[in-house]
Order: sequence, then structure tokens, then C-alpha cells
Amino acid sequence: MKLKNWLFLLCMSLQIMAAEELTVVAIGEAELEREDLYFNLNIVGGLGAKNSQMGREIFDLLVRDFSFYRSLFSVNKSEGILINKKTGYLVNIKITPSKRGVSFIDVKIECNNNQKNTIVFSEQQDVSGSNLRAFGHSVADAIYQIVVGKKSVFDSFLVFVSDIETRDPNSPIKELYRMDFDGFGKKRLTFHRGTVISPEISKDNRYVLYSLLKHEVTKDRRVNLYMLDLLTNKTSLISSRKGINSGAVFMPDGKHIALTLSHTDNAEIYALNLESGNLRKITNHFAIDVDPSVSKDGNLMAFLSNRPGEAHIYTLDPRSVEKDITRVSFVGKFNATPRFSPDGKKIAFASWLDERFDIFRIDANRKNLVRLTKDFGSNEDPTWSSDSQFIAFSSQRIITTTKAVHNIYIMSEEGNIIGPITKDFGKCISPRWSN
Amino acid sequence: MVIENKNLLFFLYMSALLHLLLFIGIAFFSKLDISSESNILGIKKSIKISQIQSSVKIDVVAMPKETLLELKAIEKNLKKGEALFKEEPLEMKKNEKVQDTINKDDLVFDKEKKSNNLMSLLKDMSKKDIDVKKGKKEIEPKVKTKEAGDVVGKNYDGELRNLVLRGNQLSQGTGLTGGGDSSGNMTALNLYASGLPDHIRPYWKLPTYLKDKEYQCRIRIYLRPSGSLIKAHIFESSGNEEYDQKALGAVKKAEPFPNVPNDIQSRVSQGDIILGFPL
Repeated sequence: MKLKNWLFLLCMSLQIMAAEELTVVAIGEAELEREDLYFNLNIVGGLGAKNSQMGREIFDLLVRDFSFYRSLFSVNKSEGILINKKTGYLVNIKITPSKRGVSFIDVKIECNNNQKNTIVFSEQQDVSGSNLRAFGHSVADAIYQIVVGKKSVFDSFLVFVSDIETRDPNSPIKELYRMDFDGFGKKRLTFHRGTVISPEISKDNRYVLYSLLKHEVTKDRRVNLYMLDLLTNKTSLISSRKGINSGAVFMPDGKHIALTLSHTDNAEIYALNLESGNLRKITNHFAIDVDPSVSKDGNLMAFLSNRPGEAHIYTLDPRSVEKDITRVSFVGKFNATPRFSPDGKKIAFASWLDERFDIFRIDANRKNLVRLTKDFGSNEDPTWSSDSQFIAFSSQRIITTTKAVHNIYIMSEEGNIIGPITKDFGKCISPRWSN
Repeated sequence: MVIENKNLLFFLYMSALLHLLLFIGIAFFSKLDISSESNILGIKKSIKISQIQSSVKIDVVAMPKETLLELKAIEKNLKKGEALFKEEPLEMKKNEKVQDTINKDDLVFDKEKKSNNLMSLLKDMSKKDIDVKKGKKEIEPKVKTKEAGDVVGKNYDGELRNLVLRGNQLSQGTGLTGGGDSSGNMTALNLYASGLPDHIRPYWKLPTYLKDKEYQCRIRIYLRPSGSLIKAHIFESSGNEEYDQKALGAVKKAEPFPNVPNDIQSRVSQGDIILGFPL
């Protein structure tokens, strides 16, 4: 009896205690606290004008690189003065004459954590005009990694198509070019005297896939697929089936590519083994399926299809045929060029709105459709930076009724336009960012 | 009154003793910052936690007209407490003499403070129709009404536009943006708590090296009826002290919070609200 009563009392007490109910409210993601970065240039006397200019060029490069990440950093610059700050980081660039000769300068770069008053990075090197930019970008990347904890885009590059070599407007020459992420160091990569379309860079940044429309008139107007080895500059023909061989992208394993073929009359997306040449269907539908983009882990492929009657974006599992097919976009008159962000979370694409294309972004799970560009000409062909922080795209600005300029711009993934990275280089289109 | 039943007396003593022990025990353990799982008197007990997140149900019927940056700017302005639309003043001619007396057929525009919700908007719109009908008898008032209606119409455009931008929150919608409860059933406590994120978020900032780490911490807050902070402590640590302190700092900077409604004052002062950074 006593035990029963005790148990009863205990249960009652526990019941009272169990009644405590807490409510958790999610505050959401934090905003970014911008880090103060102070760059100070110190050119020691005894340097010629040319060498002083080289020192200044490194300084400008570092400032410019970090200015791309304007959402992360507040960049301040000074020359020859002692900076005493309690917050952020101070990057001191000291330029002195080099012992190796007049064509070199001795560059010493130190980065100080102002709060802890400790030097977190130090590098000293003889630099000439030939390695100046590579050295600057590599130092900028090293400092970025220390401050942010991950890799930057400073040593990345883009390939793009330009018609700058065109002499006869009736026979345009659109060739493939390469440039650093900041638009410097442009270099021509192909010499077909035809029209290069849909370039794509391999995950190891060594190969570039592209399709070529030759100007010679052939019966079936084939668009063949080529691969360029950036190390050896050798080009090889990958696919020349009847019809379209284009829109090729590398699969994460590096051995397969996904591409659009129309040799069976209907455009479908296939997986092609680069070693064996074996083909495997990824899409199998009477509608037209084009423009594949594969996520980093290879589990998801976004592509464009006219299954609903208009061009819309779909995703599927590319490891099988028509597996887990999901429609992603439901609005938009004409959607084009879906591109997965490297982290696989978002898809950027162009959509026809108000008589022009603009760039939009949607989460891979079909949520959060947002517009990124507006009142900025016609904007197409988005491509993500390797850290998913930026999107490069081609933008056409109408100057007069007869003249328009087509350049490549960079914006943050939220739509903050950083600026153009091509200028006076013909019509620049189809940018693709390295990995 | 004398209690003669010995058994009852015994139970009363025991009950009092047990409650005293429980009180001491709870006070002791609460000092020790018990986390979501308490261990009192050797008995492991889960605290019932319900999570609320803000959400908006929307129908995506067209491509968004405004860019993400434009939407953020609008959101920022709304948070600052700016009116959804600015009331444009009706211009008066400089030499116009204003009569002190009101004639029978004069239209009178009452100066009133408009609340910015759709209900008041609809009321105003229906009122406007009636005013126009009344003014039909006289030509002059009709013109005046038209002028006034034009100005008001422009403002309504602005307000409706803003409403659309915020998502058509009045419709049921099919797509859920945000992770919140879509049922719409909110207790008074949940309703109060759901307003806190907007209050705290301006102070919730992280440096880059912490932002990408996917840490999560929870802070328990105890508020006075006035919304001032009695205390706040880490309920669940992220494992990173700097992250925890940033979250705690955001809570302290955000003080005072909105006034606590009477019916939930005791619960809020007892720390029934936990803030999740970010969830």
C-alpha cells in the first residue's frame, strides 16, 4: 500500500515536471561580417620607373583580386605609410631592387592579423614581367585561404568564344579564347576559322570540349564535337555523328561526358565513354532534350526539355535512363542554359522576359526562384565560379540601332554586378569558368 | 480545522516534502544549465520542444520581375518601419482660400492614419466607390474625387505591388518558402516568438571563417513583460565558443524585445523561448 502511494506521488510529480514545454524559434542564417583588409605599398628607393611600375602592378592586382569579394571584404589601400589598426588584416607589399638583375624586382609580401598582432603569411620572391601576374594571384589566393579558410577564384580562368578575328561579316569566325578570371592574359586557343559553340572545361582544368560548325557547306550541316588538351594544345575529334554533337559536359569521373546527339533524328542526351566510345542513353523521350549540366557528385543532371510544350528545366539521375526525372521550372517563356553551381545546391539559367534574356537562379530542390539581372541588356549563358560565389555571363548592350556590344561580365551569386572582364575584344559569348 | 485522518496527514507531509525536494532539485539543476535533456533525480526526461520558423506560402505564377537585390532592399525598408507606401500630399493652390464652414455638398476628406494591411486597403477601396457615387450630383466634387482617386490609385498600386513582392500571404498558395508551419495555427507564445527573428537578425553577423562551418547553437532567453532581458544563456552549444558568443552577443544587442502579451508573460519570464542560431 505504502509503495503504491509513493509511486502515485512520484508519477504525479514527474507529470508536473514533464509539462515543461519550450518553443524554439529559428533566427536564420547570419549576415556576413565584412573583414577589413588594408593594403600598403612600400617601394624602396633605387628602383627604375619600369620596376616601380611592376611593383605597383602587383599591388593593384592584389587590391583588385580582393575587391571581387566585396561582400566579404572592405578593401583599403595606402602607400608608404605606417598603418596601425586593431582589426582586420594588413597586407604589406615591399618592393626592393633584385640581385638577379634589372628585369627583376624583389617582392616581399607579409600579411598581419591586426587583432592578434601576428604575421599569418610571408612570401619573398624575385619577380619579372613574365611571372608577375601568376605570382600575384597565387599570393592573393594564399592570403584568402588564411582569412576565409577555403580556396578563392584568383588562380582560375575562363574560356570564351569571340569573333574578333572576323574579317568578312558574312563569314564570321568565332574561335575559342582563354583569359584569367579578371580578364587579363587573353589567349587564342582554336584556329578552325569556323564557329565554336558550347565550350566546357574538364574537372582537372586540362581539357576543353567544344562543338564546331564549319563554314564548308555539307549535306547534313554537322556540328562535330572536339576536345582540346590545354597542356599539349592538341585537338581531337570526339563525336561526328549525323546531326548535332554538342552541349557536351564532363561527368565527375572524368572518363565520361554527357552530350546532346540527334543522330536518331530526335535530340537526346547521352553518356559517352571517352576511352571506349560506348554510348548510353540518359534521356529517352519524344521531346527534345538538350543542354546537360551535371552536379559535382554526378548524382543529378539538369537539362532543357520541351516536354511541357515550352523549354523548361528538368533534373534527373544521369546514372540511369530517365531516372527520377523532375521538372524544376514551371514559369518563363523560354528557359535556357541551366548550369549547376559547383556545390550542387543551385541552378542558374537564362530566361526570356521583357523581350530579352535575363539570368535567374533556382535551388536544385525547386525552391527560391530569384531574378539576378535586370535593365542590363540581354544576359545569357551563366557559368559559376568554382567556389559558387560568382556567376560570369555574356551581356549584350544595345548602343545604337545598328550597333551592340557583347561582353562577358561577372556578378556575385546574389546579382551584384562586379563589372565586365572583356572590352574591345569583339563579340564575346559562351563563357565557361574553370574548376 | 484539524486533520484527523493520519493517512491523509502523512500524504500531505510527504507531498510537501517531495515538492520541496523537487523545487530544490530543479533550482540546483537549472543553475547547472541543463540542456534539452534533463536528468533530474536520476530520471532522464526530455523537454518538449516545438520549433517554429517563419514561412510564406506562395504561388509562382510568373518569372519574378524584381531582382534579388531589389527585393532585399524592399525587405530592408520594411524592417526599418517605413510605410509600405508614402502618402502623397494633395497639392493646394497657394492663393486658395480655405473656407471655415462646410457646405452641404462639399466633399470632406478626413485625415486619418491608414493602417497598412489588405483589410484596410479593401475597406478604403470600397469607401472610395461610395464617395464617387455620392459625388455624381455635382460636377465640381466629381472632378475633385477623380483627382483624389488618381492620387490614391497610384498609392494603391504601390501598396499592392509591395504586397505582391512580399508574397501573396493571404492566399493559401501551393509552394512553401521557409521552413515554418503551414497550418497557420499559432499559439500566443508562438506568435510572439515568431516576431523575434526579425528583431534579432540585424545583429546576427558572422565572419567568413565561421559562416560556412554549419555550426548551430541555441540560446534560452528570459524576458520581463517590458521585453527587457532578465538573462540569456547557451542552451545548446555549437562547440565553437566564438560562434556561441556571437549568437549571445546578437541577443544582447537586440534588447529590448517587443512587449510581452499578458497571457504569456509568466512563460516568457520562465525562459520558455529558445532562439536557434540558425535553427
